[in-house]
Amino acid sequence: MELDNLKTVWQESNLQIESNLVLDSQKLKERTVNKSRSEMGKPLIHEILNIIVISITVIATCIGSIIYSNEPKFSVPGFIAVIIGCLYIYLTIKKAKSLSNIDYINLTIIEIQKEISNFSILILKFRKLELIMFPFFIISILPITFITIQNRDLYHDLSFFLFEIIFIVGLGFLGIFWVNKNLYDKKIKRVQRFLQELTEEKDISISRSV
Amino acid sequence: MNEKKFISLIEAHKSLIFKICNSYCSSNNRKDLEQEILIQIWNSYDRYDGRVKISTWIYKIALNTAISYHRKRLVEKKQSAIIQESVFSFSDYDYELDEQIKLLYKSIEKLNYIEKAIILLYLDDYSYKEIAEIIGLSKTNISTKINRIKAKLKKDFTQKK
Repeated sequence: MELDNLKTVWQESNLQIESNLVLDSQKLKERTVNKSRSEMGKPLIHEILNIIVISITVIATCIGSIIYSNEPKFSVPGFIAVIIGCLYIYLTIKKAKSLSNIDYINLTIIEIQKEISNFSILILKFRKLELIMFPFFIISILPITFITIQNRDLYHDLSFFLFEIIFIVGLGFLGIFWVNKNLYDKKIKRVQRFLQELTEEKDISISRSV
Repeated sequence: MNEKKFISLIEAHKSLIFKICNSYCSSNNRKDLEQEILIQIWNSYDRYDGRVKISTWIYKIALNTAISYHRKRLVEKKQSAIIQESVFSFSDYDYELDEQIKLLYKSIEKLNYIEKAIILLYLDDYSYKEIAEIIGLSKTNISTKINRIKAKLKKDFTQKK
């Protein structure tokens, strides 16, 4: 096929496709409209549940810390847990703002792809941060939780408390280090490479037009 | 968006969606990409404000979804398709039997994700200025890229002959 014929062949095929391609509207309705409603709901419900659970924990910890405010050994870690919990809520809300806000009208394809890549990087970094915060959250929430619910002073049961800390910090950090290094860091690097490619496309374009 | 409006929108742009799916995916995964594009159009329609041509807007959504899907598949090395049946079928035409168009699609398949987008828009008669605005590159760069794509396709056709 000669290249001059390229468009002709394409347009002839277009005509054939246009007149012979049949859309199954029933299948389209079932597959897209109905599925989209339920699929879109799942992540949203997951994030909402996350926010509710963390909020309840934060409120309960905050109340407990206020009650024990005259005993800093309980209230200080309690308030630290509240701050970490609030950070969790902030990150979850940020994540819940999904990619559905992409501006397909004003942005170009390269800009949209850059936006998607930056969003992916942000989510991956948030996940890393959440993982890092988790052991600190657990450690700081333990004393106030035990004293409020069981009236048990973990500082008097130091061996149990130390066991908890060593277990959580030791295993937790090893796990976090491994997951971050082998999963999130690799993913972030991949997205950054793609972002670099896009930037290079744009840069070449600018240098040529100058 | 109401369902009837959505169905008529897809009906009017079915060939565009079909061509993009065909260019970015092998037959195994085409149906999955088709599904993702349709869902993306359905979810984004409420934000369409008529400032650009509807076909350009659909092109942008479909191309972006195709590029993201293509990249995701490369990274995750997903092979198996989840969706079994397409919403599209042919009544009296089998493009797979059309040797010339099959050859053209096979050559397009070898291009990178941006080159695919450019050649599809070019073949669908978009001007260089319009292609530049949709892709986000300068008009000069688009013209250079089109020449380079043509050279690649020519080389590919010659090898196949």
